[in-house]
Amino acid sequence: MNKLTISLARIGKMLKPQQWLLLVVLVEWLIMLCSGVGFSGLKGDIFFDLGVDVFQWLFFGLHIPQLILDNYWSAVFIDATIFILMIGLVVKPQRYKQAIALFILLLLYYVTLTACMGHRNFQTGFVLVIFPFLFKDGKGRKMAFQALIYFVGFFYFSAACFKIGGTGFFNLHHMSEVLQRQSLGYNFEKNNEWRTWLINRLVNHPSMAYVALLASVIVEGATSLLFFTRRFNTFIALGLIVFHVFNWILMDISMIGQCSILIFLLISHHLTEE
Amino acid sequence: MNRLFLYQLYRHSKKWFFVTVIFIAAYAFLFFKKMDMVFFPYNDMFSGYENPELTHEIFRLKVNGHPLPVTDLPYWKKDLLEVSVNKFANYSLHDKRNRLSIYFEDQSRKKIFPQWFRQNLLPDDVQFNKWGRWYVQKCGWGVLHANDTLSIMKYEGKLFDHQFYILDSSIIVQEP
Repeated sequence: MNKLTISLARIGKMLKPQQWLLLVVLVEWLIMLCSGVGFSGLKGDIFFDLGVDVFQWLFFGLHIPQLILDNYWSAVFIDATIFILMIGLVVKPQRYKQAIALFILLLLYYVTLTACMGHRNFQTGFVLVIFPFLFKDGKGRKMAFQALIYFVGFFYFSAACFKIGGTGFFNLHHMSEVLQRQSLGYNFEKNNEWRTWLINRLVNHPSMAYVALLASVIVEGATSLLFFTRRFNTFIALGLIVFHVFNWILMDISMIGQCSILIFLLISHHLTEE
Repeated sequence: MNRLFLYQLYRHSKKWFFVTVIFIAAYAFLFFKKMDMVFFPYNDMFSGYENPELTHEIFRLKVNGHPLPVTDLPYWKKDLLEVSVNKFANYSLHDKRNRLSIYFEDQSRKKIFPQWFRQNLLPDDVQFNKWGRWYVQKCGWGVLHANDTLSIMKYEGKLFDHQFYILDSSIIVQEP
């Protein structure tokens, strides 16, 4: 056991920040694969419902996801290809051509999964984080990392603006109503796990639920700082991680799929420095 | 000026500067049109106040009268199964038309894309028997027998004191 810990620590020291980031993407994707929603897990799902979204249309219009999901072995082949490309990129992150192939396959996977679900689950971090790797290692990639920081900033900051500008923000009961709707399935199935218990407490105490809403708006709003300074990136990333953990517990919106982008923000100073 | 990202990008690569400007303009336009995109949602989720007097709807697939539970499953699988049964129920309720079929019923939208492309964006005539069997298997129920009954139920109710009280329920589709 000690030998294993020592060798893992050695590997940890050997890895560069870019490799750590890709490792997180790999772990996230493996979690999704193991929970049964990889291409091979979606095989046989003959119903899909696309949104009005040209990215989804592009792949489905060319009949690519349908072809993959039609045959079990083609689905397994694509899953295996994603895995091999990810391992290859973790070992050598400078292989930008490999990153292009991986980015396209992950985008195809995300588009297929959300089409089978019938709604867009916007945990796109594991795809977005590959974007800077499409550039040769050097100034171009560093600028792409910087652009990604702005993208993350706009992603969360716009959500904060919508919440403040929406009709619910100044209503004390808004958050408890949202929590009721989000936990409907759990209450219907009488799934009395600790989360349901906690959510029901908040539903009964609207002012406490409203505090949670305010806290989320503050954390999301703080991402506006990402446009002006790099000094607070780590704190903002930590804030967003806490935000997503509570999002998972209270709103039943998992952070699996979005962890990579949060880790990216956490270590962004290593990735963007000259 | 020298510290501005777009200025630095312009000096580094004019091509990528123009790509970035087009990207920002395209997303600004889509935001203005209140459209979601794969990478960037019009993320006003949970910002609007909904009337608490309204009843809640919930859909579940039943095998031989037993609703299949999904909330114990791993998150992404749970999300897939919980939402897709809802979407399939709506597809069945609207004579096998989904949101996009209705969107393309507008004549002006039909002209933009060729018929074969539009056809690929819509699922083929999905038989409940076939899709339902996939769903049951995905839930971990096991193999179905020929005489097993499958149905999608719609429950309408209210949440009160941590309990979901069913006010009305109806069968959306049933096999055999």
